[in-house]
Amino acid sequence: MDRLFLTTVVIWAALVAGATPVFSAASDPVPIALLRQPGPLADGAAETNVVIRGRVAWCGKAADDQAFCVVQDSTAGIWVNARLARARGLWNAAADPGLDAEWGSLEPGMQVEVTGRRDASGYAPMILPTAVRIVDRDGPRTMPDALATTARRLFSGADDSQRVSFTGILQGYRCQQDAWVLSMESDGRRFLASVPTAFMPEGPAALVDGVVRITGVATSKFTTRGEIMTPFLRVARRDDMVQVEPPPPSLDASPVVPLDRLVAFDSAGPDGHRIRTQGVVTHAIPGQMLFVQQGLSGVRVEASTPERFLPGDVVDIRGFIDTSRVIAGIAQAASIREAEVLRVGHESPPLPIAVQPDDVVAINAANAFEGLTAKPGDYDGALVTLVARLVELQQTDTGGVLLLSSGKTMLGGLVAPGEFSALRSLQPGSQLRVTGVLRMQLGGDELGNLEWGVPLIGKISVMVRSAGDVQLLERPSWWTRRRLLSALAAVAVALGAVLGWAGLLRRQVAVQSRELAVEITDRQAAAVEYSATLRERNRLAANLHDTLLQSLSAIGIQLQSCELANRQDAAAGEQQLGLARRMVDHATEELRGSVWSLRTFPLKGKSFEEAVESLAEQLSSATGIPVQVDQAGELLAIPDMLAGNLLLVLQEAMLNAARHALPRRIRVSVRAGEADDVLEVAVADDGQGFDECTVAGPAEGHFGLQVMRDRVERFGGRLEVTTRPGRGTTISARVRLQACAEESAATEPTHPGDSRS
Amino acid sequence: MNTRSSGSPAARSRAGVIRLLLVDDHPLVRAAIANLLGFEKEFEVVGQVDDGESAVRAWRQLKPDVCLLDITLAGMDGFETLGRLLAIDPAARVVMLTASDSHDDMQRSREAGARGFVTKAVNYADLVTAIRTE
Repeated sequence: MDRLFLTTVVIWAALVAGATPVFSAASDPVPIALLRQPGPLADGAAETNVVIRGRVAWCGKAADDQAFCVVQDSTAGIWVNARLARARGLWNAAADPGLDAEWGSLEPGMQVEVTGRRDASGYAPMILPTAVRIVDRDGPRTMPDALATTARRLFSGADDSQRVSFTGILQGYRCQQDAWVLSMESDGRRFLASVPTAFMPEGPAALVDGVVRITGVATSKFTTRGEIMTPFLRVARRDDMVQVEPPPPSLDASPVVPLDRLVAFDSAGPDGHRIRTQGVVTHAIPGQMLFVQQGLSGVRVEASTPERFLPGDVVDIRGFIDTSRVIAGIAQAASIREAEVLRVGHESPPLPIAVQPDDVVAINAANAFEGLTAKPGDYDGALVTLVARLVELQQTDTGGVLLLSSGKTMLGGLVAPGEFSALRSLQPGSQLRVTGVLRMQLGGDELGNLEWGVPLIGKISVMVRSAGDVQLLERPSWWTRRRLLSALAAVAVALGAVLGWAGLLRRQVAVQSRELAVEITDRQAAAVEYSATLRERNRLAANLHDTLLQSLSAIGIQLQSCELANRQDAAAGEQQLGLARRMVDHATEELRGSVWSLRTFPLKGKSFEEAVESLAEQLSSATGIPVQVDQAGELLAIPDMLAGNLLLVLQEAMLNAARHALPRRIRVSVRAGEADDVLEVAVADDGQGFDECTVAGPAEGHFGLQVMRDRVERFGGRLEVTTRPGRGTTISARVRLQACAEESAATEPTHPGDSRS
Repeated sequence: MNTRSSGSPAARSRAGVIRLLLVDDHPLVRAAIANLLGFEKEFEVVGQVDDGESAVRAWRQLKPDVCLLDITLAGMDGFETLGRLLAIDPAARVVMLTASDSHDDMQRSREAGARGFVTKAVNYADLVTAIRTE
């Protein structure tokens, strides 16, 4: 005890100091309690090459556990895993044949020294041995002390690999290889214990339902996440299993507990011992379980008896209430396990209760809300028949599942493997009548994290007894969801194609319409151009005839006069020649005027206003008549085609005024108005004016006014002439720029401003 | 109208002199022809007008022997003027004058009753002959 005390003080001091002691040499034994600390050790070398010394608390002798042992020193015990060491190449029995022999010689109570590597990748830290040495082969077999423990420590896993002693009711057992696996309960919690059959050749039957104290190494059944499910005690000595209380007397005279009162309120509380109940068998799986029913309540009974029970059998049941029905917040109705079942009669098989899942949910929910038990029953465990629609079939390792939909409830139809193949041809969407044992899982927290005291239904399933329990009522509509979606997709694709085609056609029609409109516009423009060209040619011909041809004719005649006069005398000839010169001068001046009137006035980089100013200056310079230009409004960009034509109109109007009106002055105005969309140009003179009714027109060889009107109207504009004899003349042209822009866009020449109409 | 008269009605009856009325809308042409014919003593240009209406009035007023009438006139052209003159005096002697040498004009002039047809590019001798023979 002194040694144990000193070691404990050393470990305690090390832990308080927050550091793991550094061992002076690899051969020095390490207190096992240090190795049990979670996580890696501070001394990595010690972790990979560690020596422990203690006594064997347990060593496996069966085929499946002979590679394991537990070594415990005065501080703690630890799991020694030779199988994993062998798998990792640490246990090299090939190089040292004595290793396996030494391991095979291990017996509980021996003092051993184990060399190996600490490994924390399992549930609790363990040793992967590289060597084992029996220190006192012939010494006394002294078992390590059983550490004091509590239910909380044992079920939490804190006692893993420790030799402990614990007391509970032996509820059942089974034989597994060379060991009895005992099903124990303590304070409502279930645990397992393993006892070599050699220690108990007669078996534990006589101990069932009695209180037993078991001393052994606590190991753990744990999940792959490393969480304990249940403790598992491994007994190493014959004397480590002791009956504390014998089983109660026979239950033959005990009252039968109704199935719906198995775990009902009892002021005395449960004692964990067997109960007796009775019911009518509704479904049975030999060697595993059966369902019995009373009224609307059914119970699942685990019974290992190979006897075949049939629906309708009346059975007497002695078994233990399963207290593990609430796991992780999912609760099931109480069941009976480790049961002895005795047929006591037979009656007509119970008829399935016709009920719909929605009604089951509603009945339970309504009573849960009121805090009452369900009346007339909760239907859990009862044989029911219901109508549902098949949503999907799923094959599983345990048979198959029919995923069913009924009203607002989804439920599963659980089918045994042998029966599922007969149902495989069912099509989703089928309307089925399903008969079977209804099972409910209740959602909620057993600790009361609920709105009310009774958990609500979380999941419903029906255990189908055979393929005959599934009856096809109605085949699914040909219009399955997939087909409907496929049809809709096809319609959508077709509609999209039609719309796309229509859009394409519409676009093509629009394009062709635009092209046609452009072509029509071009042809109209060409016709106008042709007509204007003809007029211009006629005007040019008339002009040449009226001016140049006449002047040349006159000069030709005058030259003959010169010739005649020259024959008379030189003075007369000189006189006629002078007259001829004046005729030439006059003809030249006249020709200059004609040429001016025939000239075009391209913009050549000028703005429209600048071009008008230039035109006015030229006319004024040529005729001596003052020409005033007035501009109002801000002109936006004027298409070149329009600008060129308006300049020709102004030129013609100014020339006409200068030629025929005998004006004192001419006024030219350029005005933009009405949101800058209207352009108005005008030429006004203060000359003699004329009578519009008698003015010469194209029929008389005078084309000026007609040509001006044509130019303006071509751009959608209007030409107005205002005149009266003696009151001057005003010629105005009014066009809309927007319309002109469209017209110009359709007929714009390659070199804007250099063209004439 | 631009009319110029060189004599009184009494002077028109003077023997041996052919009294001429010039009708042309171009002043240079009128001036050149009048000047050219002035070299011949037997011709007397008694009037010059520049359009058809003036020609009709001048014919009535001056009663010339021969009218040199331009085909291309503003307003009433030479053919229409010829018709008016012949309507007044079917024996009117009119020589059509034109700057072109259009055969159609010549044919039309003949059909309309003109006594002669000369172009303005005619030489002096042909012009005198055309007037004399009409």
